[in-house]
Amino acid sequence: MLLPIKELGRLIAVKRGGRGVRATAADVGISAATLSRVENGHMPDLETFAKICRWLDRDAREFLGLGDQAEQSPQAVVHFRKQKTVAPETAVALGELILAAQRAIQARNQLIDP
Amino acid sequence: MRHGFKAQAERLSAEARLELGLDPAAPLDPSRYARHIGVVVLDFDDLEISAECKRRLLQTDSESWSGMTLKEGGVTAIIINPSHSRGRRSSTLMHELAHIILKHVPARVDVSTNGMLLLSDYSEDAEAEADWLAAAMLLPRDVLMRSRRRGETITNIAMAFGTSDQLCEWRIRMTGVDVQLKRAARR
Repeated sequence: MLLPIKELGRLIAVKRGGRGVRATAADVGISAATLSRVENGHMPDLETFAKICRWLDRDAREFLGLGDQAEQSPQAVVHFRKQKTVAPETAVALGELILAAQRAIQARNQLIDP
Repeated sequence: MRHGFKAQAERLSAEARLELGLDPAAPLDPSRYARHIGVVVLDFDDLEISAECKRRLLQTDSESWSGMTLKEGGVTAIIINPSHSRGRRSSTLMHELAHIILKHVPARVDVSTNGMLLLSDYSEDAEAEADWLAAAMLLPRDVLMRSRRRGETITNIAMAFGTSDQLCEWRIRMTGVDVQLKRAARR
């Protein structure tokens, strides 16, 4: 099974077809470098992701698998060094870190307020 | 930068020291300040994550992230990248706290059920404000003025206040401390 983010890259490549990266990026409203990175499986930030979904004419929720457990997914803000995308392996690791931190906070809250 | 923000940053910096019972010219430890405002700083090493994930975040791609803020069950927690230098860690922590102090609306990062993680940052304006406030909290303008008047080097000031030389130099430049001293000397 493809990771949804890989699917996003594939859809971009298909829609872009033979059109240049620069021209396509201008259509999407992002930089050419960002478009290339996402097409190659890098994780976009939310703003970039929203623009790409609009351009693809796809609903963002398709990629997010929202629904049953959406309520429980933690929200975090990661402070990056001014980059718009992050390598897929790093995104996976950050996801793991977020979940571990969430568990740590929940455990801590139970100690304080059983 | 909105009008009056820089003055507000100096005020917040002075207030933080006052609240912690510190001398106005004392270094401010961001960890201590975090505890004071009820923010939990989680130790990266205490978190249960795989060795592979640890390697990725601390070695292979440690440059890609500085820290993260997470809200869960009414608690705000911050994790700082432990592989970075002391000065950078303190600056990252203060930056994250600055967003909290300024009540910036966080853009979200969602880990969705099918493993897709979406990342986002604050707006550029919010980032600029947090950068400015974090530096002002760590290095108040009055302190820089006094230190430079005494002829202290950037390295010495940075060491005394637990920041990187780079941040100290940026702060001196942005506050115009040296320029002001030079002008005063010419008079």
